[in-house]
Amino acid sequence: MSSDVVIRARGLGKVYHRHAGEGARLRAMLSGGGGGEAVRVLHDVSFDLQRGEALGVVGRNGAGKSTLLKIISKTLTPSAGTVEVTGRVATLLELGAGLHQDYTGRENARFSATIMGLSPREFAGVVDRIEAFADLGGFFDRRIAEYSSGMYARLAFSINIHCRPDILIVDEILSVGDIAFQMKCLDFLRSFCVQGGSLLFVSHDDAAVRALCDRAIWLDGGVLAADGASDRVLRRYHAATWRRQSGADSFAIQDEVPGQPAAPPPSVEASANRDPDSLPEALVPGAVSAVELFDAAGRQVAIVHGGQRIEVRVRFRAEAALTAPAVCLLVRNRMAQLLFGARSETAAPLPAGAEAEARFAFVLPYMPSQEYALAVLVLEGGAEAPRIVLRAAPVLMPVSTVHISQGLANVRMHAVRIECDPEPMGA
Amino acid sequence: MTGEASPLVDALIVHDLGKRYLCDATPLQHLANALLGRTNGTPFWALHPLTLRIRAGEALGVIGRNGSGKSTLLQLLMGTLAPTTGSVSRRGRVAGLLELGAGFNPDFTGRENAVLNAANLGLTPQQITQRMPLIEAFAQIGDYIDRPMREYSSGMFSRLAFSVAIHVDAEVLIIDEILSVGDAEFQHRCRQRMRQFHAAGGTLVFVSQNALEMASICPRAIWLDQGHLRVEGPSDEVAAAYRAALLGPLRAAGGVEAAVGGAETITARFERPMRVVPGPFRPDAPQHGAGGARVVAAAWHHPDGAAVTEFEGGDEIELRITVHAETRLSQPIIGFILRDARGQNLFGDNSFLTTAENPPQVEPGGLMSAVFRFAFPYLPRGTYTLAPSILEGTQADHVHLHWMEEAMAVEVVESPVEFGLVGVPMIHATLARCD
Repeated sequence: MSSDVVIRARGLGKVYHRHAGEGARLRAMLSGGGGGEAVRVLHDVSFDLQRGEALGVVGRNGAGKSTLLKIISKTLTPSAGTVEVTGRVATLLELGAGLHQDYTGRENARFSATIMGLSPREFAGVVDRIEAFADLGGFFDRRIAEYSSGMYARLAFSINIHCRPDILIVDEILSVGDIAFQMKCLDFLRSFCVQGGSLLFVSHDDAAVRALCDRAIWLDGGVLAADGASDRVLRRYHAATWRRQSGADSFAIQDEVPGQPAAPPPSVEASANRDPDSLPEALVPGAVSAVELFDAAGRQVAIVHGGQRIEVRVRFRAEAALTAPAVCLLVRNRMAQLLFGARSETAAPLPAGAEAEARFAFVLPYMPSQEYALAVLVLEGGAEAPRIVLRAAPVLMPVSTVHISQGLANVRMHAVRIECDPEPMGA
Repeated sequence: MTGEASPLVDALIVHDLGKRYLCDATPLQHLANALLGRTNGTPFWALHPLTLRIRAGEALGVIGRNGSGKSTLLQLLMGTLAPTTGSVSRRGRVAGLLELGAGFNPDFTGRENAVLNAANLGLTPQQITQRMPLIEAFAQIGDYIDRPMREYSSGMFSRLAFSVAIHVDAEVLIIDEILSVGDAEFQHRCRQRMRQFHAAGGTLVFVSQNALEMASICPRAIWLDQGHLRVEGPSDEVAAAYRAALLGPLRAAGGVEAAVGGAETITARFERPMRVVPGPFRPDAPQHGAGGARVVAAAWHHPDGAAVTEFEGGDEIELRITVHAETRLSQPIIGFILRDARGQNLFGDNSFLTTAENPPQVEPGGLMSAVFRFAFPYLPRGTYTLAPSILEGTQADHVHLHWMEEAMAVEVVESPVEFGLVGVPMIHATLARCD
């Protein structure tokens, strides 16, 4: 079991020394002593990260998260404690850290790959994938001084994930990309962990932490305030934030049910139950030619609404004969989570080269307004031995929901009523 | 760009403003060109010349994909980047929060940078001395204010930068999307401040990837696409056009259908049933709150009032949440969230809209219930939990009086949903050969 620990942090601490001025700082440096006023930014932090695990790191700005990550990525030396790291670490810390302004995206990719231990031959093998994943258009060969923050993030992310790291450290950087890129990154991170990679993920986005990490740690004032199932850790963190905001001393927090041990969280694989995307593949030549949205009146639409009856029409052509074809429609959110999906009826055999159309009619749940990805799989083999024969690149489905909803798939109340009982409670 | 607006009411007049870079193949060539004063190289327009008026007191949203020229435009508006063509006339003080690091020297402390920034924006030393405590208080970065900024995390950076920007009596505030690196509490305070600033007559230029957030703050917006001004107009229209363009294959002959369909009454069902077994209400569940009222019961009923021990997916069902008032409640809101085993919010609602016009007054010792009637959605097999709450205030501004987590386990013991987080029953799902 211990051989599966990729990060072992024990009693990590970091103290900065504040000096009255530059002279005092210089004198202290020369005399080798700390001196000055000590500022403790991290104190006695211990935790393990397992192979294949995604660990969320949450806490307020200035709680020590960045310091901790810098220590783990060896860009900062701890004042106390030890950290053992097994494997190649790729970090996406502050925006653009480690990238050189005066070089192009491609040149930066080459430098970073070299630093991460890739040979020139290995780099030549991945550079096209780095360019494709970053999707910067012509900017890949431009100086990154001309990049926007979003383009920085895309480049940095793409370089790092293609250098075959064992451990990825991601700090907030995803929040600046657009939705399509965010989805791509989360999808990547999820499969990275399933394939045995380990992830340290710092984010203020609760939904991302919950969607990606089974476990989280909460840093508060440089101290490890909680370590456990993401849900519980986030809950304690937010209850503390509320207490701070309301300033109420009477605030009561009760974290756990007395005498009841916290249930272990379900693993990502278990909650992803039977994602048809992971069915065996036996691809045949052919293509999905259209994925289109229609309203109940049969008019084609570009935007759909929560609570609306819609029909999704999918056209495809397989250049091989299919004996028991079916089509699977999958709807993913910006966390690349499979929200819901459906499988069509199994159709009569299709000869090679025939064009077919699937139609899915349903009432869209009250999903939060944003873009969703529609993915389409063409299956063969009926319900008994399904395998994927065609895949389509996901298309975006913009959803606009007027109904206020924070849930992933809200429902509409048919009625809400209030009943008051003015009588005091019977003693 | 009608030109009829008087310059007196324009905060920013952008005339034919453009930015071109010369694209050099290598850093060496770049250096050589710089040294020789040459301007050869492939021209690249980060921002094609555009003309725009931003009126005093207006809030303008800017939307576009990464690399569309948003940041370039903001830097030109701020004056931190020199334009290749055209000009910007600014009326009043323009403060802003651009890319991380813009306008700050990493070797100086936060305080030193704040003073320099404020001085650059024309504040007197006396004014600066007066503002520093306010800047510190809003930024809330503690002792870091006296540390060199190179030690800052990205979140601390944006805290300080935002705090300086809002405390220099700016007439125009320019905010890039970089706010997203702050924690939730800070982002909330920033949005509040931006609204206050705008409400008090300030001019706001706000960049966001989130079209909806943008529309909630800015009535007018522009959409930049590959350095071109694609659309200018009311935010919701610009946002809709932007989203439609992101569609690619879905962009269709039918055009954009914007009408919001009414609530559908078709209730499709799965062939196999979903069985739901709610557990008992647990008063000792994890909870927090400022006190003053307490959730004392949560229970499921049939619409006819009969208590249920089990029901099916798609069934019309009522959830009753009862609270006990310990103090007088004048704006009580009862709400609930149903969460999955990972703690993700699936659905929920609250009583605010029901009682917004006429909030019930509940005396100390009184009981109040909210009854939510809905068709229980299909979910995959598993354990879900109910989080009931009693708040006081409005939807936007309220206090948690009592908030419970996992106050009830709701077990889906049998389900036809095989994948996904929720189940959506199909009205039909056909597949046929086209002829």
